[in-house]
Amino acid sequence: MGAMPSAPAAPSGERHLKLIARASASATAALSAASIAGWAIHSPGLEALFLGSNPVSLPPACALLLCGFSLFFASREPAPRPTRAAGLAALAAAVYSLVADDRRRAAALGHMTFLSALVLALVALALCLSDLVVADWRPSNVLAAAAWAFSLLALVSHLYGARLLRGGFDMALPAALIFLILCSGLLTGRRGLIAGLLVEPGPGGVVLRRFFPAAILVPVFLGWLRVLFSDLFLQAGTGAAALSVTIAAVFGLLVIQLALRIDREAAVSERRRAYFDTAVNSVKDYAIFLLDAEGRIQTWNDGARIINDWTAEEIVGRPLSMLYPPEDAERRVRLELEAAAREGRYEDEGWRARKDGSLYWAGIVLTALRDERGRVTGFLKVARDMTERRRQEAQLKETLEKLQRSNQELEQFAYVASHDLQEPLRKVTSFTQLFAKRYASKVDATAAGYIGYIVDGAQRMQNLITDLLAFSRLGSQPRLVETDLGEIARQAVTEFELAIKDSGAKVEIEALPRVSCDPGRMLQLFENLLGNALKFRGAERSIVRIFAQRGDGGWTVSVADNGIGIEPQYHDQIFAMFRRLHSRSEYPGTGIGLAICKRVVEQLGGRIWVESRPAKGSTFRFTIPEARKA
Amino acid sequence: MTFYPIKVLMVEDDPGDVELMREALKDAKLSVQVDVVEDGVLAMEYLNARSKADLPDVIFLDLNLPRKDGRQVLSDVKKSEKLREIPIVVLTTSKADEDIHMSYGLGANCYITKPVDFEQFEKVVRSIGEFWFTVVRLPLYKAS
Repeated sequence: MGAMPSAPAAPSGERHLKLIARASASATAALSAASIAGWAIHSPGLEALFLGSNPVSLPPACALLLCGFSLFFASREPAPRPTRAAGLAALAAAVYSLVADDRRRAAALGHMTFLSALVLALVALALCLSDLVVADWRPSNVLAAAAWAFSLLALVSHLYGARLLRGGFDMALPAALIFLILCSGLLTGRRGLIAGLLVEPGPGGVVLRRFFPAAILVPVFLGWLRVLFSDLFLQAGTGAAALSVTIAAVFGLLVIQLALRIDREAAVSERRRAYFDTAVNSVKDYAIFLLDAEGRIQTWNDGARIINDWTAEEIVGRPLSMLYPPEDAERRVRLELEAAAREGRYEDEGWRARKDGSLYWAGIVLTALRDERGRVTGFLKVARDMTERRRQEAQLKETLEKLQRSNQELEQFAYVASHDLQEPLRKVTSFTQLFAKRYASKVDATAAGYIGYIVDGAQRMQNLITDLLAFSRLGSQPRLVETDLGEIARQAVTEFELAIKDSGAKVEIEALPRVSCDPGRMLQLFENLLGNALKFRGAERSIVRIFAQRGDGGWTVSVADNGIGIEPQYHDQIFAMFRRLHSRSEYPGTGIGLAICKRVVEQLGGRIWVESRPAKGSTFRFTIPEARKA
Repeated sequence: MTFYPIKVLMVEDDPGDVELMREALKDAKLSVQVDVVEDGVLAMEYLNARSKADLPDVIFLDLNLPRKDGRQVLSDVKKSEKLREIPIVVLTTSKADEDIHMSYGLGANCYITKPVDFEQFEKVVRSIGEFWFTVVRLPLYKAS
């Protein structure tokens, strides 16, 4: 009886079931082969597999061998050809045995009882149809179960010496045993209702794994005992009483054990549920509740009460549309539930209504809950009141827009203002100079001095306006072009040609890279840095060196001079607008140049800084990050 | 070399600039006859009213003018069969790239930013004079 479908279900049940099917197939084949061998060597003992009963007749033994062979391969899906061929052969034999009259059958196939032929037919048909699935059911499993029941009946009645099954309804004991093994293999070979349940981890699986083997083993075991100790079971009633008591005792014990286990697990899951409920309930910021498949509210947590104002008593059982603004509540709810059922999950933001009709902006997640067959049984809804966040976002956006607008206006203003300021200034300068030129002989030294101040003031104002204009133009987007920085640096040097020649300064330009930048702005940057380097020169002849170093992710360009240097505490301040460290009479300038430099560099995503010590010269460095590849 | 006086049309609404131009031309010792109109409409009237032989040799054009601005004047002149050969020197305070691109795009022959300094202005005027009145060979329909 080693191949009952009673093997304990292992976690990797599927694999184990297949193993059982293979073992059953092998045992069937081996036993029927042994029986055939018995016929071949005329050994009645072997024919009956030493069970001391009627032998298995040759034709069913051959058919069983075929079935065992067939089953061995049937666990693969779809079943390979030998399975179906062997099944068909066995089926043919069984059908012939069923329809042919006794005399001709005996001549062709020897003795095969009606029951044997019937069970064989069922089994063979099951093997032929092993791939067929009708509405989740495998007909092969139903056929195998029927064959299994008949075989068990035959086996048990043999054990109890019962002769209920007379004539054609008899089956040889070894045949019953082999059929039983074969049917067990059939039932476990393909995942059907029983095989599936057997390996299921849930309570159904547990119950089946305990009761099914017991239900089979108890009568078989008692029957076997009856055969062993036949003198103790003199009366038929004794056997029946023993059977009843044993069944009651075994099943009683099993039920008690099962009840205890179910209780224990129920308590654990109840506790878990209680913890979970407490957790869900204590959430204040989120409304968390369950809906049934039609969208009626099933549960209600504290967060839901706080956000929506409804109490659980008022709202549970009412439709979800109660939480929506009434205009198109029905339609919206339908759409949301449909989307969640379709996608599994639906996220949205939108207006919802509180109990008093006031609206709030909610962010929601709707999750569909399904049963094991995939049907939607309900929904879990998590919602949050995001009114405040939405308001803040809107405010932020508005502020940002305002800021952008005012920045734009400011740039426009700076541009127009400085542009229009130039006009009158030009007149002041030009006519003052013209005046000085035409009337030089007619004014005295004081007047000439005044004229000098007018021209100087106007000139300074002009410089300021020019620089401001340049700075305000940096507000627009830079036009990035692949540019040779060496070219730009040389262009900047030509701008100072005169000053360089006059002061005898030396400007060295080392190899500079090609980078992506706005060439006009890059020229402004170089002009300002070079201009400063030449302007703030020390006692000795000034030497300016422009060079670049490659670093991770970009270039560092440096403009180094041997000029007067800068005190460390000013290293950051100098990049601020209008920030100057010297009087105009010492070193003229508007204080805008380095602010322009900073803006140009930062627009390219780089940074600018100075390394300097008083009297030791200054090195201005700026980085240009590698252009991001599009 | 041409010996008849060079005729210049100056389209300029700022009398100060006109005065400066006259002074600069005087200092540059260029013998130039300057006609001045104050806006674009007057400029077009002036040009359209003249026979081909009477047209100016060069137009000095400010961009920001009342009524019809310099850009339109530039575009109209360069579109006109009769006027398009007259060289136009755009003389303005604007250093904006857009203005420079736009002016050359419309067919300006030269774009000059008015310098602040009178000395420089004089230099510019002198170089304009040298370039347009001596180096460049202008269409000779008047000489014939």
